[in-house]
Amino acid sequence: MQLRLPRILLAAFTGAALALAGLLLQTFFRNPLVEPGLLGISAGAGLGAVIAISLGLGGLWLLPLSAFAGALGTLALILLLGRQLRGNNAELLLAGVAINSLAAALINLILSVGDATTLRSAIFWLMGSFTLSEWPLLLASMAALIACIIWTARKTQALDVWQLGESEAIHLGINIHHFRRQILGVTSLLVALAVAQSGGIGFIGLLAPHMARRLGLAQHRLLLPATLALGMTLAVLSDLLARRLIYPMELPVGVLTALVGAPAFLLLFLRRNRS
Amino acid sequence: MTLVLENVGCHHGNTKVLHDISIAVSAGCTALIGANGAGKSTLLRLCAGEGRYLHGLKPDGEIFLNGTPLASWPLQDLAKRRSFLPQQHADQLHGCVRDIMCLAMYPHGGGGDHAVALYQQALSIWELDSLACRHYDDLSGGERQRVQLARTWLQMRLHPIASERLWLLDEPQTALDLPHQRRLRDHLRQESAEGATVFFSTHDINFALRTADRLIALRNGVLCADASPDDFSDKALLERIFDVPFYVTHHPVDGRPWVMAE
Repeated sequence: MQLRLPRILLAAFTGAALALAGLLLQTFFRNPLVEPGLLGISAGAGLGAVIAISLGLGGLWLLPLSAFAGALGTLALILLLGRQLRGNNAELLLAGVAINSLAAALINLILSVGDATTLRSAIFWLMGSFTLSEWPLLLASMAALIACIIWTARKTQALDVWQLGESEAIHLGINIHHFRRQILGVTSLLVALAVAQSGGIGFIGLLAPHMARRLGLAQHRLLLPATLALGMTLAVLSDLLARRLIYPMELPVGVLTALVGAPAFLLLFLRRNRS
Repeated sequence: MTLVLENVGCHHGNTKVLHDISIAVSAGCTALIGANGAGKSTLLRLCAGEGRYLHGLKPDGEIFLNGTPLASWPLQDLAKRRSFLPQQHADQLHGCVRDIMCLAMYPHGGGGDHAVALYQQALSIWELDSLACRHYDDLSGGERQRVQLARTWLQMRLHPIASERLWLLDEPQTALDLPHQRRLRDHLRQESAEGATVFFSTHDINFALRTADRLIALRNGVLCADASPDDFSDKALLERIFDVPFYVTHHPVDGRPWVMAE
């Protein structure tokens, strides 16, 4: 139990944080294909982690902290770009894709010159794991997640309005500059906290909000709880499978979320096109 | 509501799309006419206050609403009094007709019994009762336009005082069939008769002539006419606006000019 509980908590936290980040980003860009990794924040966190590992700073605290620093650095870059590209979300998304590639390239660069031990532990980290590093970090992250959930719960109507378009949001009384900054800030924080502790967990951020919408939900006051529940369930189930499939060995959970998530995603598409 | 524009201009990149427009629009029904690309939509969007937030839509000159610069209006107060019907809507909207219409309640702090009653009224006015639970994405172009009109209508009607309502509509008759165009016309006329300020753009000169009491014309971003419907019996005025010869007759019912491009 003492082993299981923190693991389940971390999985649930990561699933919920990534799912909420995915929901906010899909609404923000009015694009159902956007996922938290796309803005480059996960890759930035990965870069921070890989730098820490290659410098031999792989301690329990230092690794998530440097991942968090990497994510924050990327966030700062995105906010700066967001200010430069005022009102142009398509370009902001493209800029995120570019940052993502840049961070991925830097990771590969560091890995290619690093030694074998570095390579192995870095790759293992990048594949994602729900092995708890530190309790205080998880508790602090959960507090931050709850704050983000409360913020979203208070903004559900504004998020509904946002999908009409930016001009319409202005017409209905939303200060779009503030709201843009808030959405970007909250999503980046969520991704940074999740990736810093669990590494590269793919597909949950894309899949959970998608499934919630596929259930016929459209308003954010319903999408929010559904997305959170789906995100947590997906993460906890993936972790369970990761531990059981090739017992007593363990699969990296990031591999599993993608292995299960990608076909599930394709299936959703096929079913939509048939109906 | 009185909207005053003083020497308003606007650039899109290096192109100047509006030049030095000075007009005052107050209670009543005013149409903004002109050929495609004359600057009608840009002018309306500036009047809605979009220039404050959207890069590339920064106006030169000043716009006042009830004597206060538009940019100084608190956003929420403005949203309670001013609605805007855009010409183009988002390609994809999640949710059913009811969800989309109820977004109009946002600036008014959500629904209540009064809001629900108005929502029901909006459904019946725009003949949306049978569509209320349909997905917006499944609707036809004309049906979507009616949903957007109903949303605008609801946003305005939630403000209790007619004289405190500013309707801005960009090509409101787009995609509507004739019965619904007529309904739209009746509504705009009724609203303005009750004291609201209705300011809409259209390229359909006959719709404007039969709906509005005043027509403002733009030509290549320049103010080119500000006239009453009866002034349009003069072919020269029409030809100055649209650059093509016109044939003018009169509508058998209300006697207003009825025009055709030759």
